Amino acid sequence: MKVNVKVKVKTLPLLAALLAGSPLLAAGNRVAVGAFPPGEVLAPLAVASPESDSRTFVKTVVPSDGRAVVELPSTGTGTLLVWVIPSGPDGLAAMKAGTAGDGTVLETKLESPSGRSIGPESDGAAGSGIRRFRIEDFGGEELGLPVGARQEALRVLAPEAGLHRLELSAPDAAAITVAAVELDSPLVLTTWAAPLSRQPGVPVTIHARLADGAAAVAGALLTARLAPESGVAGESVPLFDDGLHGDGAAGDGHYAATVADLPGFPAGPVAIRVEAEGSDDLGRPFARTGSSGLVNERSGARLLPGSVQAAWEGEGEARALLVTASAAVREGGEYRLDVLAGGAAAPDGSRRGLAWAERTDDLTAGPADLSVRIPASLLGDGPLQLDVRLLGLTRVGVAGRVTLDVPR
Amino acid sequence: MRKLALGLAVAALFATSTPALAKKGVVFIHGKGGSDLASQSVANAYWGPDMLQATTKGYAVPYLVCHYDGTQYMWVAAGEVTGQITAWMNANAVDEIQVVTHSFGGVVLRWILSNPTYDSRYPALISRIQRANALAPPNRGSEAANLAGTLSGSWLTGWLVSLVGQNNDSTKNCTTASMTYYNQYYLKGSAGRPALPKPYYNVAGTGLWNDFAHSEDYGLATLSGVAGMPGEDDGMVSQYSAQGAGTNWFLTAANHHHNRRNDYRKLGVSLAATY
Repeated sequence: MKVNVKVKVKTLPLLAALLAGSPLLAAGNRVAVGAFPPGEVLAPLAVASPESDSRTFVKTVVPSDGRAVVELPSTGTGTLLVWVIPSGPDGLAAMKAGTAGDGTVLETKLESPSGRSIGPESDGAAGSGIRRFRIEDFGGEELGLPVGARQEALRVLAPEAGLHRLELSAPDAAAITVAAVELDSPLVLTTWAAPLSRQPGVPVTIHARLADGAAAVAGALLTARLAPESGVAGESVPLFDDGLHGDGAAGDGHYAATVADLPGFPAGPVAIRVEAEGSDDLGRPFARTGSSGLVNERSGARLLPGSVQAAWEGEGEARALLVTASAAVREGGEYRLDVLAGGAAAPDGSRRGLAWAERTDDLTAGPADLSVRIPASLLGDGPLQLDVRLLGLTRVGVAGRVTLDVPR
Repeated sequence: MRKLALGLAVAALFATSTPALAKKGVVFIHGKGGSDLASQSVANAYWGPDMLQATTKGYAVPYLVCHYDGTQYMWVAAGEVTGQITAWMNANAVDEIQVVTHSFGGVVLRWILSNPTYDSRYPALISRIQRANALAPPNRGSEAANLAGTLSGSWLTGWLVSLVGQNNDSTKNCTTASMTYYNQYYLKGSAGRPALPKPYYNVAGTGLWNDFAHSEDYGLATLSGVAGMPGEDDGMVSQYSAQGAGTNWFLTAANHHHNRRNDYRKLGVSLAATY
């Protein structure tokens, strides 16, 4: 049987791209359009950093005559694991190279509130209540951790509530960092910050939640510090649980503080460290150190919010949605207009993924008009919402985001 | 309707056809680490001869071990990697590439696959990639990177800052906050994002204690506990994070040090079986 093959040439690339699950490329690969696979869901944009849980307390001390003492609060639940990390006198680089790290003699003695202890003369037997693990050639550099060549871990099974006393002796160390975790403790510090993508001039809110199992922990002392990219942290900021600082209801264990601006912070990631200390309902002391982060956006360009529009054009197979936007560009360079098209909203705010489009342009300083077309065949029927972003490529960063409901 | 169906079939044929005599090759992209990983010999040692031999079927196929400064952001590392792969694939006429990545190397590759217009060399490279096998990629970030931030000298004062050291860019790249941001705006292949243009298979590590005689394992186990990694993890990357992009391939009990070396629960044979 002879079959007459007759396919319109201009539809082939689109069909091929859809079948292959790859984007339709055009204009020298500067424009790409694709469909989301069936069932793909567009979750609501994360406006805050992800929540980060901590059962760990971190403290750095400077030895005097090679000695230092650190008191470690414990609620007496789970297992207490103490990581001791010395830093050499010539800095971490020397420790990594082994010149100071290999020569550093680290000795520790850990004593529980009732007097159980382990000294430097013994590492403890397997299964004993307190045991030492010597860690060498850990590969900390590979892991990106600011740790030297030699550390040790002390494990306390069935720790007692109260203060554990850790005596440190490291004659060749200039600083010693101790990280103590109460494994499996129900008392958890959870931290996050918003916005995750912070445009210039927008305040930053730091959040923390203290919970002991299902019970909120109120009345604790919480502070936070923010550190810019490659910089040193600023002053401590107190976090409040009084219902007046974006922290929910007073006394609910949700603490927060808002920083109005980040003067002097360059564009890039901002690190946040939160310290919490207090006592639980039974009067047992605890301390927790949490972390979070956000991205401080540069002001290289700005997607003008009111400028984003969408209009249907063409008929039949040529019918498409033209998305246009304007930007104010301060720093010229490569920028990409990204559009994500979603369908009807589910109760949780998510949407069925329909299609996506992106277009890269080399923009010069000044006003810029941007546009990208999405074939109507990719957009289905029913409600339609566009999530439009302008992203820097020459200098990575978000220059703006707008959502737009599109009538059919 | 028949015409349309036939057209679709023809289009599919065009879209999936590959050169009849495709020359295959394997590329290894390491994870983050020190600046010395820019050295070829250090990068080779990162993987170890057993892994290189097993994955290349006894060196039967051309291969390239990428070497880049392991302290940099993914887009900087991607530039170095792209230059090396481009030169290698052209010099050896390799037109079908299997990419094996470890840890941050999987994120570096996702950057390339996700942002073809970032670098004019990317499209040609992407077109020759057949498949990526990503070992323990921190696709949703790593709690260990978060902890590294907490341990850094940024929180100290005066001379202690440089003494204790600060996070490098690749570690900042891999915090859970940073990867949430990058997944949301720049990287493809995760939930709710456009698909990656090439198959990207992840392998997640779920073991810590591979070798009790080796203090490395004590270190990873300590790190896992102190960093508070949720669920299963390999000492550096949690399972949920490794599986945060692409297709879940399999789990391995090899920890983050062992899962790239082919010296415990060997992965090299599995990697070699995909081409």
